[in-house]
Amino acid sequence: MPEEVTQPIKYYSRSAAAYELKEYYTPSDLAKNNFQYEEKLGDPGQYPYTRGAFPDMYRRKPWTIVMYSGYGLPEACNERYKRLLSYGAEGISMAVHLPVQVGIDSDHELSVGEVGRCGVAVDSLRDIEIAFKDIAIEKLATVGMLGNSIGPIAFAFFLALAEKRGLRPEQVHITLQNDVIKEYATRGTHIFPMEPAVRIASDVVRYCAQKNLPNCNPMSICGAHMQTAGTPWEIAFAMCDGMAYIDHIISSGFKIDDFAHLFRLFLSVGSGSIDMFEEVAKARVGRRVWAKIMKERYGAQNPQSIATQLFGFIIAGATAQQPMNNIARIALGAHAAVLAGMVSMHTSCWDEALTLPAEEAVQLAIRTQHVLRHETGSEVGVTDPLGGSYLLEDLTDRIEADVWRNIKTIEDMGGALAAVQKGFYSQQVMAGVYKTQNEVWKGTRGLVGVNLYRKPGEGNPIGKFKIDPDTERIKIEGLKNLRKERNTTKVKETLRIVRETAGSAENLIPPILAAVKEYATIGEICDELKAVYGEYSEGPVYQ
Amino acid sequence: MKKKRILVSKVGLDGHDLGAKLVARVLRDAGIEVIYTGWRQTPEKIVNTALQEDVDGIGISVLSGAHMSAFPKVLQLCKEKGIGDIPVFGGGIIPADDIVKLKEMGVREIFPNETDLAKIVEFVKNL
Repeated sequence: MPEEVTQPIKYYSRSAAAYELKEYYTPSDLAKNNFQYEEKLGDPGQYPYTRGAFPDMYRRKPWTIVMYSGYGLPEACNERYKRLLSYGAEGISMAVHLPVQVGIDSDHELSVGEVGRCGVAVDSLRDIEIAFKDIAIEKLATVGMLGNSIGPIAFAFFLALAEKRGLRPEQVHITLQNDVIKEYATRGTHIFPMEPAVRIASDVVRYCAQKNLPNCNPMSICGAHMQTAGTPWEIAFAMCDGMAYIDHIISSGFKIDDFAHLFRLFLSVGSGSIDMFEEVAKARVGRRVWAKIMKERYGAQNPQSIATQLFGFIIAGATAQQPMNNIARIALGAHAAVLAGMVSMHTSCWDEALTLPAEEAVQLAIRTQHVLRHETGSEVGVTDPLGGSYLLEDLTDRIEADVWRNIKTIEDMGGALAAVQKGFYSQQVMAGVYKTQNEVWKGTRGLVGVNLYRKPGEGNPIGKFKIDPDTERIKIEGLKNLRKERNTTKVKETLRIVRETAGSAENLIPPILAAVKEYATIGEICDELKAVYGEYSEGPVYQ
Repeated sequence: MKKKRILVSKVGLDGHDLGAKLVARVLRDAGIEVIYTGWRQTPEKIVNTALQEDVDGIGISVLSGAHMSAFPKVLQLCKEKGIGDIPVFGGGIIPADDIVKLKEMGVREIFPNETDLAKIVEFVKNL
């Protein structure tokens, strides 16, 4: 009988990048990468900030427990926000329904069936006031909304709310995602053509720079939404998008150190994958690459421009099948995020692959972060505790090399906007998804409860949570009443100034703030901007 | 034998299209002609495209929770335009109890997330 030659099983890191992994790593792996501590790492708080921005990371300030939440009517949302805070959430990021995200009101024809569904229905400042009734926003570690295409409007909402409560802008920590470029590649909540969209998003950064609001986070450049393309693409996309905003802001007359400290990094650490070491390496590469770009390309001097912070959003590859497995996944993802040194983290709820989360699931998501914070020692008491691991440093260097190569590819195409318009980002994302999904279907990529440990014919449970079926009708009614109650003349006047400003180089926030305070709606403000910039008309559709 | 033509679409404001694109790709790999309409289609646009393109099936992806208004509208418009016999199917984030309701209304099949795409290919081939 001929001897069977069995091929050794190969092991790979979990993202689509699939870094091949050896059985074990040793100092010789550091040597082969020319590892020099000062050059590759530096201490935490030292360039290139691979290990983090501060030597005393979580000892100085634990990461913020932020919850991304919102559904239904603002009144219902207010109830949940109060409960979230009572469970221990420290910051709130409003999940607003899709009409808001694409700049239309609840009574728009395209809003039918969408009102209050995957976020709270917001049309005007009144809804924000209701959602935050009896909540001291100045006491929150952070407050805000995703607001990608509508950055200045989202920011103005919170400025206006603060003003109405007699607070100064310096007292409120407003956080927006506001990374509109990625919306054209993935996620899809774009409104205007790309160049005006970059100007609109950048206005929030410029406003915070000019008004000196370092307490705000006006822009989180996102890799997370392209994470399926694989780790080095994710980081390269985020960096190139960031450079597009930075180049635009500099060309409008700002110096790098005037505003770069306002950027944050939103990577998918603990989100698509719970491969601890690849996830931690990803964060470290993000910090290192950003630092090098700031210092070497832009000549930044301010350490706050060069050492960026990471925001985390833990989904951990949650599945609808056997959803309670997600409890383990989210805990592992959150653990990776803590080891990576995230400064703020939202943990998803185990039932969110089914529907909006039920109350107990939300509480558990917060408790997961509490357990991490209070019951682990080295994770929170030591900065970059995995630093020096032979495996981690090897992965960090390999990913970094790929990131620079990918950045060059994107730049050779003309940069972020050109590459997005060519469909390059979404091609990479699809290639990654196709690869990993095929592996799931073939069974070479294990997914517990989906292709492993699943009984034939096993169904998925039904999510418990449902919104009030009257939400859409009530919201539209409320909008009608709002239009009757407000000062129409003032609304029209402020909207006219928004339109004028859109046609100029002046910052959009002051006129939008004025309109928001008169209870102009999101749709009305966006209509003024559309009149000047037009609407995005999609390029060639996926072939 | 005429190649099957299937419309794959995202309805409403939801822009998460990886699932829809995967379905489109896998169907194409299996020799089925796919007309992919992209983001932000209304039920009206979908049905008009289905008519124009003379499709054999309409596939719709919704993750935003708007499925209970989108699917029935598509079914109704198909009937009105005289193409009520074209099977409508889809997927996304659709709770199991809504799947039952949608199928009672006439949606041919709903494929929950993580469905083995071979099943969808099989389903489409048998349309």
